[in-house]
Amino acid sequence: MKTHVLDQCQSHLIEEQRQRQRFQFHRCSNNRSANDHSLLSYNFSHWFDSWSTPRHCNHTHQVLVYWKNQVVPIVSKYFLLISIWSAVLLVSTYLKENTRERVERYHGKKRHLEPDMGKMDRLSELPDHITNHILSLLPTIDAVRMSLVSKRWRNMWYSLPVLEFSDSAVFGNSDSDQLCRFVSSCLKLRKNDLLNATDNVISKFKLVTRYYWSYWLDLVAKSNIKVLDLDFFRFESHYSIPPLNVLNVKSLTHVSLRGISLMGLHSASLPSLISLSLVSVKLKDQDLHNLLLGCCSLEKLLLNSCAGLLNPKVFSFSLKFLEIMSCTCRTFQVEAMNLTSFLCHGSPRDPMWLKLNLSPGFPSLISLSLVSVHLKDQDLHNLLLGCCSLEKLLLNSCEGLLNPEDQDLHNLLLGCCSLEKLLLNSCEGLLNLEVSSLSLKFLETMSCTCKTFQVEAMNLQSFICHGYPRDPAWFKLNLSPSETLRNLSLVFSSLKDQRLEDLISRLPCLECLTVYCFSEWKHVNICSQRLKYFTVHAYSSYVNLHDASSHEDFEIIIDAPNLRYFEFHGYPTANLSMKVPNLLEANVILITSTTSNLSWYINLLNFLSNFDCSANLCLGAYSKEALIFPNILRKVCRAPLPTLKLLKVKTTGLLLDNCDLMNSLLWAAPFVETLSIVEG
Amino acid sequence: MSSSSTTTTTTRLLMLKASDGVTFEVEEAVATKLGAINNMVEEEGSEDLICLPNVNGKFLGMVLEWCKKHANNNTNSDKGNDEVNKWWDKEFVMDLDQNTLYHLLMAADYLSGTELVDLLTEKVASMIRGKKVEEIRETFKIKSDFLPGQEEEIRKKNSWAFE
Repeated sequence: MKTHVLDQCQSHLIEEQRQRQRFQFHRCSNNRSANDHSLLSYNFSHWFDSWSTPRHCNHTHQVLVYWKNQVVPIVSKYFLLISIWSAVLLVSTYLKENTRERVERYHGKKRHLEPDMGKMDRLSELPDHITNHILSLLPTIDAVRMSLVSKRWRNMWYSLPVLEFSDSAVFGNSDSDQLCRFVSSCLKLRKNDLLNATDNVISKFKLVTRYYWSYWLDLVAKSNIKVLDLDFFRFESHYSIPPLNVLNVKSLTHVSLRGISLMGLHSASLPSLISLSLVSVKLKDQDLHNLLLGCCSLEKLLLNSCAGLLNPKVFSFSLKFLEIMSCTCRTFQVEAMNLTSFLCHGSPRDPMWLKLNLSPGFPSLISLSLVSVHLKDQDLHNLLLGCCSLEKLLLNSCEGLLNPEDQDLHNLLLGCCSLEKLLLNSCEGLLNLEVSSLSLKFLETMSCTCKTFQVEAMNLQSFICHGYPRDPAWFKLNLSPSETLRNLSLVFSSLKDQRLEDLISRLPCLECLTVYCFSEWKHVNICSQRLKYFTVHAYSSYVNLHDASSHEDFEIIIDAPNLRYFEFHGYPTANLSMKVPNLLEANVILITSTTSNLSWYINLLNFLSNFDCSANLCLGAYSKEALIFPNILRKVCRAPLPTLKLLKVKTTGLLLDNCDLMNSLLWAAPFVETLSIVEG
Repeated sequence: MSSSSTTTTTTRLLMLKASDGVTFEVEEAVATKLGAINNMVEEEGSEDLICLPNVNGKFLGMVLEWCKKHANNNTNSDKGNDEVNKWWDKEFVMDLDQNTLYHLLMAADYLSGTELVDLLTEKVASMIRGKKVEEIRETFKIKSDFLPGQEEEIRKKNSWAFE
């Protein structure tokens, strides 16, 4: 009720967007003749929106727009030249009362505003502080190029607080001299700004290059920049050795290094540093220790693919965010009592041992993510007991993590009363999983070997359950009805078709649904008011794919008035019926049998006719023969897609002659305006 | 028990009046995503009608629509919805024409909606990035006001930048 007005506005926006799409579409389709006309009407419709209230019905807009183009000039002529009553009467019977008012307003406004907004230079009209903001987001080369656009932009780049150079994006890989010349020239022109001698202070310096001159970094080391981003990455296990005096710039708050060797670092002095990111950096345990000693206010530390680390230790009181990924260390020791987010991803082949100091623990931890990590018995248990504000927990392939007694996890979750997101992936040892939480909103379980699975979470919004395929019969799911669930994805759970229907009927807010169907299923009936995205995988690994008869009695009924996107993977079932008036996009991936017989094509014909209502269709098949309808069928049957405008086909074997395929598709969708065929 | 019931009872409704008289009724948590309105609410206290003479109703509606989507993140109810928001943001800026983009940017700047300004400026920057001078002029309909020969001269002088 409270957001009523806004909802109205939202529907207006959606309506407008749809209208715009229609116009653009119109423009594409009738390239020559209608181009000017639709362009003009498009601009007018926008101009109208700028003075009409958002509650106007768009339908009248369109009518008006066309009147504007044709009728208005005649009207004004009548007013100016012949001021005879009869003429006015004629006009007023032609135009309704309120539309005439609008016409007058239209003429009143015309003096102030150029009606053709599309031709105006809006960019140069923006105030300086916004244009500066925009140019600061660009690499320096683009900002410098802007100076040649017009006088307004001539000297703007001289006041930007950012210097950003990148070789690959702009200069290509060939000419490193060009980048060197460009950077040197820029640095020469803005040397004083960098050394803080003027008002135009440079606060950020970013260099992404494979070749550099060390005097650039010497210059930076004397500056007062706040953000430093050096990316010298060339290829794996190659590290640049730049002068490291930049690590003594006291004003630095954010440092990001990539492809650099920090071996033999004695000391660093970065008292204001808040965030440090090391990616593909080579350094030893001692170097990291020395570096962190100099960063007394560090809050965020990222270590990714760092070589040389064996048994690193991180001790910090200020640290809040810690992430270590793909590093080759054997153990990792952490003591940081103010940590709120901790992410530790070891390599799957050689999981690292995590050593945590649990005496102060991590009382303020909000997000914990452990992937391929070894922990001592009871460590996770003790860790979680101390985390009373945990909101997000991800456990993936963590051996020795969970006690086989499932009661444990259940008890742990009871302790985390603010947990919102729980992801369990490949957790061995879980047998009977029971999740009950009032705070939980996102639940995802993948490849867990549990036999029964019970969920009770009344505030759940998203539930993804990908069971273990080897033994589905043991998997029992018990999901309590939820008023809030919007996203549901069920894969390989041995759910019965009837149960699925029941389940969906109890989820009134469902918007996104993914379902894998199973061989024993006969009938799937999806009836949902709010459903917008629906993906169905109508095959299973238990069925002989080439045995068409097993698919024949399988029936899918979809009744979803708000469905926008539909995706289908499987054998074209003859018994698909869809009531989806608002479908925008359909994506159909067909599983094709090795020998395509006539029954395949008949099934496919019936199947495809369901998608004629969609605005566009993407059709995928593993062999292109499966999409070439036999001539005999083309003579007897009607085209399955008589009104489809946009068709995209993905298939294989396109290197050879595609004439047959083209003919077949053009027969199936005779009024298609855009047909694209891609290999894939 | 549930957090949603407690938040709805405490939220206040604000009336925002645009330059063309259109009014919008929004929750305080939504409107205070905009720094300017946040300041007004804090200073003026119980004033419920806020006039915004520099923003047109159409664009105010769009700005508020954006705020509404993003306010959820702050109220702790949709945490982890960042991905959805990012996707939504992409959709939001995808089809904007330059005129709308201009007015939205001006509105967001006037209302101190920092995050929205960031989103929109990034959109404009993405339209400039990697383009040649002529392409930029064409994209934004900018007319060169350099005197004949002047452009050539600058180009020659700064060959390091334009080669």
